[in-house]
Amino acid sequence: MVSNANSSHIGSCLSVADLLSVVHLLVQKNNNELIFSKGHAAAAMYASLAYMKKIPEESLNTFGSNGTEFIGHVNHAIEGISFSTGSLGHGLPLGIGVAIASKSKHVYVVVSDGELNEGTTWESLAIASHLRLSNLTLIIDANGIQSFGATKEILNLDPLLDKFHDFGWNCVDTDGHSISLLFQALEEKSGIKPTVVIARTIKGKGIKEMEGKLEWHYKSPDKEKLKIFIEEIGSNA
Amino acid sequence: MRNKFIETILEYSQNNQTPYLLTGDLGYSVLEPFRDKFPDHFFNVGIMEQSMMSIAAGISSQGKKVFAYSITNFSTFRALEQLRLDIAYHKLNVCVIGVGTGFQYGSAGYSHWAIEDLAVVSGLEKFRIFSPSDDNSTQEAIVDFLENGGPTYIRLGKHVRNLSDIHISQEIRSHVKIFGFGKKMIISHGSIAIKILESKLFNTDEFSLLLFNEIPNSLDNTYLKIFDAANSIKVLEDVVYTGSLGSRVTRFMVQNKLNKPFEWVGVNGKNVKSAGGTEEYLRLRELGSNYIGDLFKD
Repeated sequence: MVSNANSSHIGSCLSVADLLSVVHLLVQKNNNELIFSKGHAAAAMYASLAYMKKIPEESLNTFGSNGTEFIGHVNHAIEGISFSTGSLGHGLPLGIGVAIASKSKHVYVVVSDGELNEGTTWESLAIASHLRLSNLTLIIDANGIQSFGATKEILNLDPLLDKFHDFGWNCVDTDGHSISLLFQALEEKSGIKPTVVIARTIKGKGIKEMEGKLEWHYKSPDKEKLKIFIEEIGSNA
Repeated sequence: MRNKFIETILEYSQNNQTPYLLTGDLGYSVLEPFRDKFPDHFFNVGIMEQSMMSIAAGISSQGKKVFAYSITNFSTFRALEQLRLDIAYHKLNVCVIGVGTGFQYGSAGYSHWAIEDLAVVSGLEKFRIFSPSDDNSTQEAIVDFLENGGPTYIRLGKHVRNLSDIHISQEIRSHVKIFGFGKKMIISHGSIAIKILESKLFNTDEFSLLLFNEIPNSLDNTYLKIFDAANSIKVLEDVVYTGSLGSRVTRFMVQNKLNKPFEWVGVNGKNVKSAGGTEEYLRLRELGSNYIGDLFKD
């Protein structure tokens, strides 16, 4: 998809793919809600929806082409996507609204770690714990890299866990590529607090040339590289 | 108008689904009756207008109607991207309430003036925009949102007596009225309109006032007859020219080749001076020292 469309953000797609697979299952199970705030990882979202048969797999071939609904930031016109995002810092307050209005649902909001720079994230952290929204889980795809470099170098928010704790959230720090640990983390809930899961991930996970590399926030593999990368993923599967 | 807003949603909620009301920590001595009656539907989220608009969108996505209340500059300028992406793009049933229009927060300073809100929100064409002039038109705007939903912006001014107590009017179409029968037509909206009707110079045989409660994206052909019948047209509003009602009137006249005397009085944003003065002082300074009297001159 990304190679055909010559689009960006493959590194972000690969860092979030494992946790998306877990969240989709949890959402599907109880008619819960997923808000995908890191909308730039749209290819991962569309691919996972196709895998779950929510959308036809062949529709993925239109990604990034003229007239398609499968655009570069997630699009609410597509089944399984509740909100169009792309501007960072919108997903968490949207999720708070859903959690307020639909107490029977559990709301999962997936954000990037770069997104934590946004002021609305911190406003929302405060009001969610003030309102005791225990039906809300924030999942951070903590791949450690944002647009212009390492998150610690751009705007260091460590110690992150302490900050969330001080904001009144139930906190879990886990491996974002371990399916079993992700299930365990996401099933953790508190009676009165919202929960945040810091999922430690690797940008470009699964392809050695991409892993932990800023440039793959932007680059798109050409046909030759694509073949090599697919073979690499296949040999690791 | 603020009290009429809260009275209207309280009354509506007696026999209909109760809307949600969010505030960015404003509305003291206004919002309490709703808060006390419907505590589960009232949220003072604190001073976070951007997040408030996204929260409102999230609530609305669950099939609810939501009001989001703050002073105009905060609910529009501060939260513009949330209005654009979360509310307008998703076509959600959120009514953004902006308190204070034009120079009503005059002595509070430029930070609190609402002279560019119409320009800014007009760019979000999925929003319906209301600019009520009195309690009656406020109620009509609120009820319209409660019944029809959709992204809506209502700019609420200060309480004034109802315009129907000054002159009788005829409804041209929903949310548009005409006062008087004269061929010298004045066009206006919002809180400044009462100044026109209260003027002793407003002779209903000579002048008419075409008053918009809802500001449409563009004027359609149903206005042709009214404009054709006028000998002259003047527009008065206390907002900047860009994106104003006057800009829509101008476009309509050009498109329809209506060649007749035309004047347009608004605020020149480039020349707005530093804060200082009351609402009326600022109007006189920014719109012209005899802005009402000039409307009635040839």
